[in-house]
Amino acid sequence: MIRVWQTVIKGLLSRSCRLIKFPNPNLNEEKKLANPLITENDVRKVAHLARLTLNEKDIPERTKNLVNILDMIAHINDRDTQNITPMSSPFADTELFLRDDIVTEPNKRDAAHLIAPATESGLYLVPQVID
Amino acid sequence: MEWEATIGLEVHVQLSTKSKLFSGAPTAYGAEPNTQACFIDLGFPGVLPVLNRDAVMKALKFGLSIGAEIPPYSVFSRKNYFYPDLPKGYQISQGDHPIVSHGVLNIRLDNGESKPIRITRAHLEEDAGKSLHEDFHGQSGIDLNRAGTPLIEIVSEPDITSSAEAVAYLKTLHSLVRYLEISDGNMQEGSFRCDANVSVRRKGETKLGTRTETKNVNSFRFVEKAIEYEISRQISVLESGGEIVQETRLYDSAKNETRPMRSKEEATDYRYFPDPDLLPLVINEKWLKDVKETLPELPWEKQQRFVTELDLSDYDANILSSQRELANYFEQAIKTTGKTAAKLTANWIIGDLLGALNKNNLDIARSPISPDQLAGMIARISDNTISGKIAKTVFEAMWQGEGSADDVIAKQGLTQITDDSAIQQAVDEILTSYPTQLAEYRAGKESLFGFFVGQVMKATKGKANPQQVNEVLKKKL
Repeated sequence: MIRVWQTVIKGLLSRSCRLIKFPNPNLNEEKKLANPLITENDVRKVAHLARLTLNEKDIPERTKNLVNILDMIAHINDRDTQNITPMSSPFADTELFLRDDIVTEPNKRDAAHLIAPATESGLYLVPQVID
Repeated sequence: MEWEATIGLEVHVQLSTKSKLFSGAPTAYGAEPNTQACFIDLGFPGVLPVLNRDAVMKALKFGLSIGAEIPPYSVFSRKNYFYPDLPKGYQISQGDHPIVSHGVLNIRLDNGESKPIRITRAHLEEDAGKSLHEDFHGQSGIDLNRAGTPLIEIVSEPDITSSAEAVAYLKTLHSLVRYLEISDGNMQEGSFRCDANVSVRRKGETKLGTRTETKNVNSFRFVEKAIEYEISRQISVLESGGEIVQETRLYDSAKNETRPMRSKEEATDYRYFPDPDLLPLVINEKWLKDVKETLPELPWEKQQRFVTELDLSDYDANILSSQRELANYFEQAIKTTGKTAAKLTANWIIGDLLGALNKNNLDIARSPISPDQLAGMIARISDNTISGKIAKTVFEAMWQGEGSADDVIAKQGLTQITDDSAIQQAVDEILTSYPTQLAEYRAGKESLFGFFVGQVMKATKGKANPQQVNEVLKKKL
């Protein structure tokens, strides 16, 4: 779930950052980070994507919170990342292990069927789903 | 009002690995339901996916063959959706960082010209299981044997503008994956599936129209029909003042129509995010170089070589190189007949052999005449043992399983008569038998020449060398 929020926040942030001009941190100016671009509809959309049920009355508060979180994260834009390679994983130095193309898994259908609520002719039965 | 169509195709190609993309369960087609779905494919808690190296190699082979970019690393993401044939609740796919991007596939149009179709990307992903909706007392049956089978999804740019181009693109792609031996390409078994994104706009307009995606098209003919249907449906909706709804549609081949299946999801609905169980896949130069060395001669390279080395016509070379098995058959045959008979061999394969195979609904791999048998017959034509006409009889006999060309020629006594005196005698007999025609010919009715040739050939049961018959007749007439 955290990752879903991270992805969504990243998206929103990149959108807002295009539009908000951040002042040069070296100048002693007051930073205005309040993010007017996150609307209550954005919060409803994010909640839907994350499959969260939000009370309609909580939405203004949630919107404010999300704006605050984004503002806080927006400080990252103060850093100069011109010559820094984006990190693809915290374990980027470790190589992904690859397996040879060999069949190693035997048929364990009987074991899997034991814990299935309903089976027939080798199939798992589920409530009917037709698109 | 003139309209133009814009078509982008998404093709799912099942990679021919022995085991699944992330598990060691087998991928063989047609097994008893759920006997090839292990705990990883079933999405049990605590299991971890481990990537199949061979699937990666096959994806790389494809990327290199279309001159695509292979970035130094690619990332596996989770595509989240809820459906019973997807036990994990997500499909492991690739989002922003696919293994292959920006390639080009040149297709050949009916007028012989070639047109480049850009390929946006090709990414590795796992297949889902199968749902069966019939006969389960109001419930659906789920078979998860296919869950986790490796696929590459190949996405084209919207460069295709007609159903004919779409089919040409698919056939070229199909031939390529079979040449590369990365997939069996079996469309009936679902190893090569196509979704078509279709939109129309008024000619001259720059903005693309709203598109629909048609799924469930599993043959070249159905792709063509589904696209044609969708283009005319969209035009008639727009011309009657309606709007196209962005949606996923299903092609029903029995009724030859597409119908709405569901409103189209937006990418955000899938909530893609990097799969924390899998590190980025790093592809280094050495690996790329090794894979490059395993690339076979590609269809378009073979086509060119057939033209330049064997002096075949562009058209013949294209047909012979269009399928790997057919090209192999041809090359096996000319190993015996030699390059000088390449043209003759090509003619026999394209004309008689493909015609007979087609009539009997056979593919080249199941040809009753082997390349060596065909080559044997070509050799007898080349050395004048039989004429082209008699060769048809020999071909027919070989097709019926009567052995090699030499066997048939010996058994049926088909050796060509090249003995000049025998031919002269046959010609004399014919000229004596038809005095009226002879007189007419000599009076200037030159069209009768063919008549005399025909009679001589008939008298010799087609065995006389036609060239010699011509020469002798010319002299005697």
